[in-house]
Amino acid sequence: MLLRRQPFSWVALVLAAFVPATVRADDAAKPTTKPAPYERLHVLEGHTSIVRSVAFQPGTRRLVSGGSDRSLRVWDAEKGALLAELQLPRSG
Amino acid sequence: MLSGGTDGRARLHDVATGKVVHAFEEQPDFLHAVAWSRDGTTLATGCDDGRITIFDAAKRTRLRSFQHAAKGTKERVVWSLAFSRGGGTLFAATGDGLIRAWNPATGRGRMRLTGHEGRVLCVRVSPNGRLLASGADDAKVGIWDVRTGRKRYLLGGHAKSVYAVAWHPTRPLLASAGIDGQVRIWDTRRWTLVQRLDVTKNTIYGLAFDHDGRHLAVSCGSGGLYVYGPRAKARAEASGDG
Repeated sequence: MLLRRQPFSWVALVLAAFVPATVRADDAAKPTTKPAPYERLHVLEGHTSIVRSVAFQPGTRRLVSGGSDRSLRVWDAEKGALLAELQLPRSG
Repeated sequence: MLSGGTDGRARLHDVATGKVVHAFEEQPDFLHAVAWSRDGTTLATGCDDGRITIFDAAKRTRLRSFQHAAKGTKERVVWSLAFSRGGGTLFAATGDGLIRAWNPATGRGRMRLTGHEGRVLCVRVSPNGRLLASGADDAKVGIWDVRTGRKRYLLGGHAKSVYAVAWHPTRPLLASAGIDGQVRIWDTRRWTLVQRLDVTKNTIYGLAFDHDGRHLAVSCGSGGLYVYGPRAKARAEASGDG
């Protein structure tokens, strides 16, 4: 395996993705009510560098974020609380 | 849950604990993009050197790799990947301004979507599977026909590169964000701006709606991570209805 140079912090990234939730075929075609404008509910503090990617676990309020600080964090998006944290290894 | 990083490895994690369940075969360069097929059977990784690799998610084996540009081609980074709803097409946002589409089962190219300038940085397929949204260095949000690859709209408004797009799962809304630190929420029936959120002075890198769109997560530079939700009035109305 090719050993890579030490990554610069700005290129360092972690991406998180989930298996998409199964959605019924007609869901997207449903008539919709008027859009609800969004406002800020929570500031989730903990990442020390760029937060590259976010994804929700399908069907839950559980949010996972991945950052250039090489950590993955799991949050309760409803309460704004940290649930778990994982530090990824520095080299592969 | 799947992650990919600068060490060229994609990893499967347990969502509850974050623990690594499986580390996939190493790729020769940084991974900028990972994606699952909708049915969860296939996953794809995109590499800094332009290589796209398809894995069998259950067997955890590499099925095939293909390169979108000849070696030495500039800007061949794969920035983002998205499977079509049926899994028959894999879209890749690439550094040369194109969105490329492949048949992931054969590695054969299907089409090239042209219209953006500069790097294309994100691609996402709509919940009904018909449209693809993209964001790019030209500060535009692209809307494309998944089946034909034809450009439908280029939405202007962002001041700088668009790094993230996210479709609302149930309502006709699309969120976009990028270097200008603003989230723009578009009405996908008329393609008009519904709301602009001034989130941060930093770059926004990631956007995600949860399964019913109650929450919108926004991830940014300098450790910024925010959760947005419907305004208090709308929340009260929603709970009153239910």
